[in-house]
Amino acid sequence: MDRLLDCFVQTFGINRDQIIPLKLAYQSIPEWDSVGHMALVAEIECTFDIRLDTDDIIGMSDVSKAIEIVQKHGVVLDDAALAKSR
Amino acid sequence: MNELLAQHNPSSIAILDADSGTATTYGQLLASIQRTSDVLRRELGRGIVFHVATNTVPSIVLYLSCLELGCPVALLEPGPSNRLERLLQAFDPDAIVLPQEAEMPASATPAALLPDGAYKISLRSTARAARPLNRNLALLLTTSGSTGSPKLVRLTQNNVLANAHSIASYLGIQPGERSIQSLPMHYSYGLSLVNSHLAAGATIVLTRHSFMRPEFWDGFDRTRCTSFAGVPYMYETLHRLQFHPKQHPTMRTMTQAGGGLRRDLIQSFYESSSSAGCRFFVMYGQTEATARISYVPSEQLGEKIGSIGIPIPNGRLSLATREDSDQQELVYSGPNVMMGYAETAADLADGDELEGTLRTGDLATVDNDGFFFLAGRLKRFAKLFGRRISLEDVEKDLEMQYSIHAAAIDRGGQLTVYAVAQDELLDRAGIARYLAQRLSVPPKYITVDAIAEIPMTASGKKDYKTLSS
Repeated sequence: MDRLLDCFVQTFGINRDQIIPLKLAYQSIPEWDSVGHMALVAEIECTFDIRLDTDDIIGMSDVSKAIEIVQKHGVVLDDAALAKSR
Repeated sequence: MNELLAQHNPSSIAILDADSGTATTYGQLLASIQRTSDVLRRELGRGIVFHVATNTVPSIVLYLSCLELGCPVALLEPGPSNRLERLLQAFDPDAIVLPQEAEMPASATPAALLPDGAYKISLRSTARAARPLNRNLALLLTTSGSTGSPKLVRLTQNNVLANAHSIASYLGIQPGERSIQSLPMHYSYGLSLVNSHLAAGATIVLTRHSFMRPEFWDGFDRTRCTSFAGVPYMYETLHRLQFHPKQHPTMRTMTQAGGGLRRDLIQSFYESSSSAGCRFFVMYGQTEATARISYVPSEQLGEKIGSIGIPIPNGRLSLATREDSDQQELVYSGPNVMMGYAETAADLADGDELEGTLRTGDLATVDNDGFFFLAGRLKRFAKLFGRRISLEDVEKDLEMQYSIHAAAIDRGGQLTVYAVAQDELLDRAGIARYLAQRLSVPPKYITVDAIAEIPMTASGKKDYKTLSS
């Protein structure tokens, strides 16, 4: 889970405490624009060594969606941290 | 410009909002310009207007009203009010117009709403002595990726009209054409979409959605758009999203400018557009030439991949030898070349310093068919997301903001800054965040490192080669 949140921290240059799964969404902060979105996709793909498809890229509209999508690609996220983040 | 608009059929659609479905005809557009011009004339006379531009009807009306009145108008990117403040300090405009919901910079006086209520205007000083302004000055644009001391490109109404006509001519823009406004209006390429389509009596389609959202393309299909414009990172993204022009049956023309697109992607979009019966134009330009300088005719793109093409109608390209380089510099001449730059309010009185000839700062070659190819830059730039960032400006900016001596390089798509500082005293994250905000790039593409001293060459210049190795 830390590794996924780090993707957001690294890409957008924000603090960990700014990551509120249902609130941090595409275009909710100036950094998460279309350029930032593709940078986030690249960061997640590189971190977990996965390849997101078109629907994943378009559908990854907030942090919760990002969690679902990386899990769908077989990434196991730490459950305790996950529960807390929801 | 407005004389031109008056020649089009008043009942044909000038602007169509894809999100709301609202259409604005040429007749309605002219009436709106008239209303807004009346208010501006009363409040302002001929003053300088700084306009925070958005892709909306009121913003287009304001821009055209300023042209109508001869009020020089600067089109600016929406953003934090402190960024605007720096420009206000440097150029001391007579009025600021910005979206009703935007935050007014601290130095502005209370604002009044303009006719349709979507924009507000704030006059900055009413008792000012008339300042000298060049009589031909009509439009001020920021150059892409410039930071540090603000610099504006000074353009005339003739520049705007000439470039609009040239573009409409080589793209064959007709009244039936519908162009989706995929780029912001404060950006010269985005503005050229507005100017060329209005000059031709065609339709501009507006949407608030980003080109990478399905809503954008739903709107494109619903309003039966015929053309799309994008910069390299947009085409890279579309490629990632498995975009194909066939998915959009009304698509007839795709254009690309704003930096070099990867050759394999040019090839790929050339093939996909050809198979969809649609034209793909690779183009080159600079804000200093209003927008457009050259283009590759779409039917020749297959043999000329990697070329910036031939000059636009009424323009001329040549190569000039330089003493400081064994390569040749690309020089453009045409009626769309700016008068010059402005760095202070006093510069707004200056006349035409370039007289129609622009040294582009790009090194180039030409083939036997007269097609030009870029071969590097005279000035140092970083390329992040297809955005051109002047490394010299980054260094100047950091000197002003943090009083540090710095050297900036592009290390494979990573903007790398070496700052002369003691390691433990350097605010790496702070500087990276500052630059990320100034340049609108994700901070992960910026690295800041401390260095004891910047290596110098024998001739006393910063030794970027050593730094890059």
